[in-house]
Amino acid sequence: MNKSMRVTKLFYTVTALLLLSLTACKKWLDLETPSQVDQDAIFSKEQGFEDVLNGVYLQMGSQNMYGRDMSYGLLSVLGRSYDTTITSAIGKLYFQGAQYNLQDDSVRIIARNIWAESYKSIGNINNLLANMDSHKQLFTGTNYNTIKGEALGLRAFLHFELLRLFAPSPAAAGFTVAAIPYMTKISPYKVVSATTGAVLDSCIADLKVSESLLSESNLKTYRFTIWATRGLLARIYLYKGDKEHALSYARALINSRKFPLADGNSDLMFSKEHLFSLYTSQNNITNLYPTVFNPDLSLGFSPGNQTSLFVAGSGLSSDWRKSFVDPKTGTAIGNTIAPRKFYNNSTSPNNANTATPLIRVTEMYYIAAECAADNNDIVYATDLLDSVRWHRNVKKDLTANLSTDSLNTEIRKEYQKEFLGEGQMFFFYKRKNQPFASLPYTRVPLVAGATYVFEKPE
Amino acid sequence: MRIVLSTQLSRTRSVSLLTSFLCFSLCLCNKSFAGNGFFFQKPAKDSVPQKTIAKLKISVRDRNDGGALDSVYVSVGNKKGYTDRNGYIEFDSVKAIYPVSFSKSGYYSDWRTAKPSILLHLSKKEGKSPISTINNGMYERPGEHFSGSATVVSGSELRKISSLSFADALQFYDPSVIVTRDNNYGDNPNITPGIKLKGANHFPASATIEAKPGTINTGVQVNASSNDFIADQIGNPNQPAFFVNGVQVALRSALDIDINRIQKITILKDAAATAVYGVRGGQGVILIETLRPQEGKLRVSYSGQVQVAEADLSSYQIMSAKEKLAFEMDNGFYANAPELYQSRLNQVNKSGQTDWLKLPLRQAIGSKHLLALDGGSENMSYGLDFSYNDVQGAMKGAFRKTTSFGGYMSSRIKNVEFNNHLTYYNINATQSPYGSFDQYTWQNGYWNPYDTVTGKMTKLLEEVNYLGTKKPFYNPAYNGTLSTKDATDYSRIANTTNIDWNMGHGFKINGLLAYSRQAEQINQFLPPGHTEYADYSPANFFKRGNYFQNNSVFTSTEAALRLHYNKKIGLNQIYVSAGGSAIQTGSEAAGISISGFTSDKLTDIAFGSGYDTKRPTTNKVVTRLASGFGNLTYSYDNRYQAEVSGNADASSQFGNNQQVAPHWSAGASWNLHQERFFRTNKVVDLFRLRASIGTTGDYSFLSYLGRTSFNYYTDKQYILAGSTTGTRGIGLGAFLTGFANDSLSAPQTFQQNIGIDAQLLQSRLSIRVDAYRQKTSELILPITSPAYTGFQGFSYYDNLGAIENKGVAFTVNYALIRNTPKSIYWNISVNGLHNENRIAATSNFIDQFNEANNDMEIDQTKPQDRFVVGQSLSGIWAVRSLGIDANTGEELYVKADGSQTSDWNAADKVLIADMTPKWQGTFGTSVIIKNISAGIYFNYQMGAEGYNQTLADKVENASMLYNTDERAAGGRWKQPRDQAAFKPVSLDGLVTSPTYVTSRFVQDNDFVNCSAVSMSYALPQGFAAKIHAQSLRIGLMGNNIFQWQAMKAERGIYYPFQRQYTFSINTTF
Repeated sequence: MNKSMRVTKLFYTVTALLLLSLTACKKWLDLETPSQVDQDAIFSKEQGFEDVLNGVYLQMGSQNMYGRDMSYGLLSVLGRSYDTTITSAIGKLYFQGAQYNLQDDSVRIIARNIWAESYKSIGNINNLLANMDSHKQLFTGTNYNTIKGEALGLRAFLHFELLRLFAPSPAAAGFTVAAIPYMTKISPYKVVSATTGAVLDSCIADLKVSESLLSESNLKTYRFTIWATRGLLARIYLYKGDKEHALSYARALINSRKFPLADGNSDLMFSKEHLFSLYTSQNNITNLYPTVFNPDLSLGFSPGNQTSLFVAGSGLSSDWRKSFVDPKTGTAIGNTIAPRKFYNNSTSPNNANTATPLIRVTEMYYIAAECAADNNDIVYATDLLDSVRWHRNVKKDLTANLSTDSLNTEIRKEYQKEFLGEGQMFFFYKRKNQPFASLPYTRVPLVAGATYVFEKPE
Repeated sequence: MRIVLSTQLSRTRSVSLLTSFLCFSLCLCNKSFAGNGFFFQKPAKDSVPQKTIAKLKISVRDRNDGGALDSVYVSVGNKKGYTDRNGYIEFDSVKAIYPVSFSKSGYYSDWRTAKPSILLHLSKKEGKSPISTINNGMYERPGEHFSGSATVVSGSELRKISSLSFADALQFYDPSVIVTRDNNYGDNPNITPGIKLKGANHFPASATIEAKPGTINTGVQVNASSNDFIADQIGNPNQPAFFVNGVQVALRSALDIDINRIQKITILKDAAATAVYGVRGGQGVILIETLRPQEGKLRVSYSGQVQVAEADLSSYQIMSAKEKLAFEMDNGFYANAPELYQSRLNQVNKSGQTDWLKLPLRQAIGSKHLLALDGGSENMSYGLDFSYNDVQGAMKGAFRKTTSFGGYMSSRIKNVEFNNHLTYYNINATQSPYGSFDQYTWQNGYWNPYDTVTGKMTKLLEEVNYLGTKKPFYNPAYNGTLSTKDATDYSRIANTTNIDWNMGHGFKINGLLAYSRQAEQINQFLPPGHTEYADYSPANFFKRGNYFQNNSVFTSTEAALRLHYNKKIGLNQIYVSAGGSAIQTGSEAAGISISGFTSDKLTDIAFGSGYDTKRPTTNKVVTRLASGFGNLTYSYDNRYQAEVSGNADASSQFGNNQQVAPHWSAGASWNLHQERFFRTNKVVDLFRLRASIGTTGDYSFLSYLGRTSFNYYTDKQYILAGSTTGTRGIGLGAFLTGFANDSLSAPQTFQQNIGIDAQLLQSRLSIRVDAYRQKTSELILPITSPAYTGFQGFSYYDNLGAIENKGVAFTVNYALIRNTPKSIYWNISVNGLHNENRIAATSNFIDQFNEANNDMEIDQTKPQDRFVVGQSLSGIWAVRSLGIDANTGEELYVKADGSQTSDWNAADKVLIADMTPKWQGTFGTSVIIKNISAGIYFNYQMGAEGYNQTLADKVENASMLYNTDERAAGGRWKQPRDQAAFKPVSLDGLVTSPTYVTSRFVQDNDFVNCSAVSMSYALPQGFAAKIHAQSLRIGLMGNNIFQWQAMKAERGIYYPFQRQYTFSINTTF
């Protein structure tokens, strides 16, 4: 009896010990990856969340995104920012791009990279969002709202860019075609593509939340602020054809007076007008510019067309934007075809030109103008365009009582001048579903399968 | 008695000092000796005047089962006597100052201070690991009560088959052990053979680890230390777990042990035997125990051997210089260059042909020496061993030198036994500077490697005008004369401490504490003069030469505690064991690659001009495992046994939601020979039926799949260029490099096993048969995620794959002659294994792997792996061939849809055959006549098929520029209506009409290999005594002397297979 009691006691002791050691070892087993930074370490401080967002901005500045291909590179070739003779000598990518041969391997590689890098950033954002609520106690002040709003805004921004690249525009195919997957959580498994309409709605929904979280006092537009949110909403509503909302967001931004238009040409990037821009200076951009603006490639905007775009008709040769340099020397002497705004400006030693604009306040003027023109509010539309023109040193007003068509032509010309080499013109033509035959400066015949829709990678 | 003990103690002390045992072990020993008053003259504690005990009553019991012990010699003062049948003895009027001492043969002696009533338990001396008990590393059970499938092989049995490696010998005692030597690496002494038990439960690592460029795999060590068993298991997922004296090691480390030091090897195969190992047990477990010191007088034993290795070139049938010249001439190679033919012919006529195969080879002579000392008393024993093993390979400059030292100390204080084992290894493994052997098989016999004037090795053999350009041919043997280097050096220190406490009443506790650390360095140097750089342009002159150096450290620490209980109540015997252990491994490696060397003589890494890569290759992997187990075994009357085991493993490798992996097993056995109706039987001595069922686990997957991880951009930050100091650090950008699968669990193998053990005819005939079926599921495979998921640069892994195996293994031994009086014995043995393997589930990653293996970028002249559900892992996939079209000389194929074509297309590949043999195993015979013993042992495989790569590479795809197989000249299609086996000759087959993997070259791959022939002679005692030796034995052994191969293909491509002859001498003083 005594013995069996001892056995029982021993058994219980051992069992208890085993159980205890099993529960205690849970912590012992919780090993971090030694050669990487573990998520627990990253998200142990508020700065970690900022670091992940910085990672997204740095990714966006890569050469396949806004460091080149989505701004002054491929998209500007497609958007006809460059009119110079395009031959196979400029390289396969730009030669095929100029022909709108988006199925060509060289274009598909870029498309695949844009797709991969954008979604990589979205994955990082989704992972960040998934970890925010469980770490809410880390955030000080309004930082929780700021970071969450920023993340949601970026998610919408990236998705909308992908939609505009990889899905047909509503003008061409309506809202019900399968477009792209709208990723709201990080998961390795396949999902079905959302329709164009659903993607737009998701973008708007994310942006509305973002708008409610972000503060108007933040003017650090090199990150995604409320100004970017509202500018993007105006842009998306316009793409969607919801001109009423587009107008109201654009007008609110113009009237906010936070982004006064430039009064001088010391900064040709007009950095103070950016609603959202990206620091690309750390992404080796000074070495990337020459891969496009290169005397050997002769990609650029010829002096002849400079005159016809900036001076002829409603323009004036005093337009600050009509400022071009020779890509070889960076000076205004010689073969002046490269936009000066991309070159270090001796009068702006702070390298302001290294912030790549993604949304400009001037686009709001144009969106408002387009919506007003659509409402036959010609006076307001003309006013808006003139406001920009005066601040670009075009000191003459447009003719009053322009027809809607003429007004739209003026708006298009303004887009061309304002966003030269910024990739926006591609989206402009795509949104309008502009017939390929009427694209300006097409020096090579387009391929039979010319399309505005990039081939979607798997 | 006293004198003997004290001298032993002092000797032990000096030995301990010499061997730098762990301090605490020494202290503990010494203290215990002093404190316990081991010496009998120890005065009584109190100085009370001498007390006399009127009646001293003493009972003595066995500590294990509590049974009374009779005939125990008890002495107190000058009184002495033996206990009776009840274990009882009494003495009258005994002075209390005397200690009472107890001794009984087979038991450890003990003593007590005298007091009126003494109840003492004596501990039985453990037998010297009798084969009849099975110790599965966690607990020990009598063989008759163990329901699992396990094989125990003694060290002396291993040494009958091999004098160097236990791996080659295991298969002769258990057919489930499959040892494979890669045909490419032959018998390279520095290449570890592949070992698996039964069938493969895993896809090879190449199919389960995402290895796209740019993929971050932090979960496995690159250039891992050879003792990194975590990395080893990931790379060789079908390999069983190896334990040396209870501590896990990598296969390479196990092979470093001198075979003469092996006491026994236990092979655990089924769930009942391995479930308690949890995730470590899925592929089976191989336990190695090294010799323990034997108590007694100081013994010195020496064993030495000399081995001679030579390359086995019997499979090489390459053309002689004349044959090759004739072949070239016949096929129009010299149509436009008759002078080249003439100069080559002159060369052969003048200075004869070169035997290129012999150039990098030699008759290698290696030696091995082992000196061991041991001795001690029953309470204290010690052992020391020093070993030097120099294995020289048949290729010049290839060797592996092992120096090892071991110190063992065991002491017993009452019923606590304490063992400490310290080992140190130092290994230098060097590859031949002559490079890969296949280079020599390509060289034409008419080329002369020596300069005709100076007689020295030349670098350039010949330069010919080939298709309009000058093509140089370099001499691979020239590299052997340079400072070319490829060496791995490592040293490992390991210490294991065991404490066994026999608590009595059937309770036992043992504890284990083990630590090992291996530091390893790889040095590879290609001097600038190496033929690899011969074609470098002057512009790249300073890029020649490369030095790669890798340093790694691997540590493992283990602590374990186990409790055992056994009890016999009438006919019922129960055993209970439970325990837990915690294991941590740490692995670090850093490699640098330097290029730009100016001279062959400046061989130090310091002479390079710069880094090859921007950063060193570094990685760090830490794993932790906590493991708990329990086992209950019950036997009724030694007839019916039942057992259950459970295990719970928790590992840092698992996902957060799955941190405990449970495993279980249940087994039963029936000893028919113990049944009354069998006992009278004269034919059957032993007949057991065993059955087991259960699960085991697996850990051969990347660490950290259960972690989400990030990295930082190290070359940019999100601030404006030219920003001032206030921005420091705020712009750092992080990005995901791994995403946790929180529900990742360890793969599970469900195993079923039934077995029969029988010994018949007075144990002349023994038969052992096992049949098994097992299914591994939840195999961890990567998921190929679409780019839009954001899973880029890293993969997500999940439990997806499944593989089934079933098979049967048998072993039969028969004593043809067993004449004990005359000492004549003749035994024969045969064993075999039949295994069927089937893939039950895969993932989309495997589908893509299969597809990628059909890509023309991949070498399609070789069969490529293809894993399809329902098929075996070892299938040969090729396009079905209808042979050579007699009219055109082109090969005709059958497309996947059944139609005929002459175009080879990878998509038409079908499963042609299986490389796994229907039966594989060994047979052999041994004879002992008095002092002489001899044996011959073979291994075989039957019903296997293989792809004759020689016919592809050296016949049809051969280039006329290089030497080819003799068969290249005959059987070729020449003109219409030729019924030819081979395509027409072309200048360069691979370029003009490549032969991709075709069913035409799939052939029978059966073989019989004479693994060992051995003979040994024990010198008569009389002679041994003359030289003051206790025993003296000399032996001769030949390994892999001859074989028969069904498939005539070259064997040993990068390094030849070897024939090995060993002369050995073993003696004990």
